[in-house]
Amino acid sequence: MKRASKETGSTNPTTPRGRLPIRRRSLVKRLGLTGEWLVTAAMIYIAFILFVSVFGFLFQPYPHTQTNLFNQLQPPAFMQGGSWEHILGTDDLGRDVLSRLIKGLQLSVLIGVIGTAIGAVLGSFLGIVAAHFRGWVEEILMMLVDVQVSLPFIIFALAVLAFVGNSLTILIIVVGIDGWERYARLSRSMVLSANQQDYVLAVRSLGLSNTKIYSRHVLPNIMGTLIVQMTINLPGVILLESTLSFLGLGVQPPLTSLGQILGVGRDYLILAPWIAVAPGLVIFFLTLSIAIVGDWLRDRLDPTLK
Amino acid sequence: MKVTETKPEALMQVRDIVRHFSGPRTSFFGPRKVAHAVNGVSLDLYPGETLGLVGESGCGKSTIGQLLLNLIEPTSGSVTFLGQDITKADKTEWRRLRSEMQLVFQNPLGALNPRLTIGKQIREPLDIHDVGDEAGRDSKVQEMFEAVSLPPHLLARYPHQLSGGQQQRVVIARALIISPKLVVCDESVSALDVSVQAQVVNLLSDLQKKLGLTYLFITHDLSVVRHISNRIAVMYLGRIVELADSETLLENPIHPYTRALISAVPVPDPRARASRAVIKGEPPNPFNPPSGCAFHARCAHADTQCRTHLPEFRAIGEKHMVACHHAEALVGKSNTDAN
Repeated sequence: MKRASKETGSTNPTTPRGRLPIRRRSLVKRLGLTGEWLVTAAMIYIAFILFVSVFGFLFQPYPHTQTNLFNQLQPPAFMQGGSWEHILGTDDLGRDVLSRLIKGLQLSVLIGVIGTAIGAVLGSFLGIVAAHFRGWVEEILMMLVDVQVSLPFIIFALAVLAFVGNSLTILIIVVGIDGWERYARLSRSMVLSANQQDYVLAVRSLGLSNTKIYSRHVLPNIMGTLIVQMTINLPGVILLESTLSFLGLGVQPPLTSLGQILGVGRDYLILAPWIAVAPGLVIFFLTLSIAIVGDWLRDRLDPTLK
Repeated sequence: MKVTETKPEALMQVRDIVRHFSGPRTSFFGPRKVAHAVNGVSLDLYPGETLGLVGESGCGKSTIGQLLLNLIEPTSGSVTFLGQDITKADKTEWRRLRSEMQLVFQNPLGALNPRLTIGKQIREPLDIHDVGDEAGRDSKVQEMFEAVSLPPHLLARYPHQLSGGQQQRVVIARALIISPKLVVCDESVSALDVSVQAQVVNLLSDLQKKLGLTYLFITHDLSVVRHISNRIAVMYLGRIVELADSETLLENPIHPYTRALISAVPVPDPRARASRAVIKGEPPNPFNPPSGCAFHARCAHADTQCRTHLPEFRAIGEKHMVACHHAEALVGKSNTDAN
């Protein structure tokens, strides 16, 4: 709390009162919250999710594939008719929802993180290449970006999965490609403007090689924005995987993911809402938390705002 | 002080350097328009001197600075540095040459990487050119930091935490730490307060004496240039129109453009206003330069010859070069006589 009041700049002599803030106010501040506790809560939640997806198997009460046809659609413990045997209830095949949730989370997070990394590295690299070489290299790359933007990605993903067939690797690559064009555009424009900056001209006139100019001077200055873009994209990738699994083209049984559980739960939404609500809430809070932390990171990664 | 009088070997010789920039096409399939940013400039820079290069915005003075450091390539012409034609130098030669000549920028904050500490940035040239060992580099950074009179605790700070004057000192320290021979100061003090300007100009001339530097001092501000320059060159639309020792040029300017520039410097005397030569009109478009003398459309002395023939850049008196058809007639005559 103390630090928050310092950061708002009221005590900072270099930003006079009444001057319009040039930066868009972060989501956290626009919500009218001082922010710190919300960011903390979001970080704790993300840490918890990461912990569960890595070590969750230790606490998993049942194997996620174990069916019990005598115990179908049992409500969670806190609802009438529930029992502590199955804290979050059971699904249509009598499988423990909590166990499936832990297993599904593991795969969703894995796909989300690797997919985001693929998109970020690929897109940023192509963007930097376009900005460095200019000319026809840039024309072709930016044309590809435009093609990607004008194509609804979900159609593209469905087409690839339907034609190439389905495996976990292909699924990760497909969701990874999602968003590359955003990184490419972003990094291209930032590298173009960074290359116009005097500090790049200064080290260039000192005789620094191109690789070092990019690794030491340009990349650190655009990294903050790219990381924030990753936090914006990560929820999208998780949601894309959920959508594909929901449509039946994503993760295939016996593997499971949050989206797949959600897809199964849709059929029982009236009869047994807990099947869909549990993974839905996990996804909702996960994407929200990542967005909040991303906003906060954007401010923290800019040294001129410290 | 006047190194030029002893006629030493020139540190850098610029001969007929030309730089075109291509603009938009005149029509869909037509040729591109060409801007003659620098249009045949010849200069000599002598060791230890400061050559001031003045002119209005867009006359090509910054382009000259970048051409000398080969940050952009000349369309034609040659630049010779210590006897070597550097426009033909290859990559490895340039790596060495880079340490011999440095650039000090106009906007010091933009010239510093916002994410590296001051200390790391001053040290960078030593890292790039592999000068000395780790400890040697650190002590050299300290030394340089003292030389530009900055307190050592600032080494760990980030650029935005410093004032404009301090930032410019950092930029100077970074440029001088690899002991260059030539420093191009491109509007280096224009962005600073007048009081800070004076400090930085004094610092530059102290360092010049101490380290034997040669400066090309590019500015639009005549009151700054008179303090630091031994010689002054005046540029107009890509060409040098007058070149002379500082006193000569400021006291007895010949070219009508130079006269107008000098009389535009504010003088704290209300009566002085009457004798001001005012330049009419806008600077011409470099994509479509006027025929003959580029200044003829705005010149009070212009006649038919000026409209058709480019004046030769020639010596009028001792070490005073002027590009004006009427130079001889204008010597000793006040500017307002023709009006």
